[in-house]
Amino acid sequence: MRCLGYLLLIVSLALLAVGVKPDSARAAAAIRLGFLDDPGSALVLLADAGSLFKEEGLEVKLVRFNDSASGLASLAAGKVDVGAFAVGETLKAIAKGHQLRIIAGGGTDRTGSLLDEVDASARLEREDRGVVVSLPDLPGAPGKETLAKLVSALIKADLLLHNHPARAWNSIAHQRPTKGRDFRFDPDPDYYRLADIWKRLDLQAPSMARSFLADHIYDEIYCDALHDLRDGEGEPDPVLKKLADKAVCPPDCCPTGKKKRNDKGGSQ
Amino acid sequence: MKRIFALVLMIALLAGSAYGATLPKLRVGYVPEPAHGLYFVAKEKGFFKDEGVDVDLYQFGSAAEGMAALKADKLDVGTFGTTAPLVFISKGSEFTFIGGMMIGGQAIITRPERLAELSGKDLKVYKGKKIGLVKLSTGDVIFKGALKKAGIDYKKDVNFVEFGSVAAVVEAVKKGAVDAGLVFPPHFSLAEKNHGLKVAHYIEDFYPDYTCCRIVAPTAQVKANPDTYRRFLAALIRAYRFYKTNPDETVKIYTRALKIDEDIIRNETYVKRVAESNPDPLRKGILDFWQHIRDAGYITQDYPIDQHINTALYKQALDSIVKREPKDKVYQQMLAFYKKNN
Repeated sequence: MRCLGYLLLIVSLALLAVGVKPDSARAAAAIRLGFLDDPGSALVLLADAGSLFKEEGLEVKLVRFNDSASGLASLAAGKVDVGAFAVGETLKAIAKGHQLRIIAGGGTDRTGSLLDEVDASARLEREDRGVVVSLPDLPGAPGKETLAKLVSALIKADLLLHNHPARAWNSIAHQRPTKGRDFRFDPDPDYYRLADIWKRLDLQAPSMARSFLADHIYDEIYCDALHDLRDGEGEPDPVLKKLADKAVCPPDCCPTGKKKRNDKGGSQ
Repeated sequence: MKRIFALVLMIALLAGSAYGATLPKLRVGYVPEPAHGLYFVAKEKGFFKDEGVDVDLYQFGSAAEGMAALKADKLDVGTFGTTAPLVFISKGSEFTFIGGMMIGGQAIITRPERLAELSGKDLKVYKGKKIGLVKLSTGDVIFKGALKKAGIDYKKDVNFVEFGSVAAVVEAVKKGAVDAGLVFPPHFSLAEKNHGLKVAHYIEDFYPDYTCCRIVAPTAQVKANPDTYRRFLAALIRAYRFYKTNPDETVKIYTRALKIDEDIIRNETYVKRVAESNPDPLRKGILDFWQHIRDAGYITQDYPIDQHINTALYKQALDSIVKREPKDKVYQQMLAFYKKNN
């Protein structure tokens, strides 16, 4: 009888060990973040080099990819947890039915060219190669709280890049854009920008609901991370203020649970 | 005889419970504000069940959280401001406005020593002032709409300072970091009571009958179960009549439900009348609100919002009640108000 008891205990412990990890356990485990070997991934690299992920209590292991196709395949196969890959290919994967959710933006090559005036296709191609951060919407994926911390680190990387560009680029010198190339960085997933690209790439199939793209963009995470960073500010950082001015977040949006917002009277 | 009586009673009870069990159920979300009290009146006075709908109420801390629950199919209907539903709809979510819950309600608070400077009925007093607000809150959007209607170029002439929460706005006014702040009920009453701040203006002073806090539901569900939503609205129309004609009992119902000071509720609801708990959909107000959001530059892309407003259900519900009580003054007023605003 005692043997049976021990056996049950061992089986229970084993089941606990292999069970689905709660978000807190997931936060303690390293997040495998795939990134594209391109200056557009600078926010991810800066968050790592500047220990901004660690500041948020996250352990992140970066995994380099030479192209978005192999990165997105690894994301689908569960070999990486989160990926920073080209927006055009990410949206095409979503249109094909991949269960991805975009949580943040990244860098886009905005280098102007005289040819842009006569042929916009080169500019649009560069825009499609801009980076967005996404993850599979599957059981076991990092939870909202972890994702909000991850996005907070990316916003902090953006502040670092805008407020101290020389120091920031020196810490990731290998990804510094070559002379003459102009990258714009924005951690906002920006539904409206993505909707424009989605429309231009003609990805909306007749069978898709109007909300199909919106259902794959998790901008509540960005709104929450932004809200928390602003909450902690005395005089707001001008770059942070600019991000908040641009973001389209409903008021008091969208607590992940790490901090209760329970003002009497709610918000409207 | 006793046996027969017991049998009849049992059959009646069974029939009653079977009737209750067959009532369509609606999960209704709200944020805790006195002006959202029609839900509590309709629930407590039995109007929902009378009209044939079984309602469970769920409280949310913010409009955004409520909208997320609605999107995740955890609610069937809810009242979560006007901005949040509009933002969700413009981002592709399929929701439909079917009614309203609150008209007006936003106020501008300041420190007592600044009150004289900001008094009067001219919005020009706010030129050159620093105003604290929560971005995209109803007060933010409507105040900017009122300034524009008054011909004031608010992008140039007023300095708006955004805060993350209404509590932070109150704190900034208190500390003098801003000249005034835009807040909503019951925050201005609480700011007056707890911090000695003063209401300089209600935005209604400049912008009568503006929309706040619409009732919104998933479009697919509205299309699939129009009768359920019609019954739901009929109950709220009856609750509105009760709120207009039974102030004392209404205050008690609101107080019990919201656990806010009874004096604050009475003052806001019946003395100062800072907001009107009105279930009218206010279609014109929603369209104005959308335009104000776009004018402010928050959302640059246009979207045919009118496709997401259903006034027919409310009108049918109101007509059915007017038919029952054609001489009732409150219902006649509601009919006139509907014609003017939809």
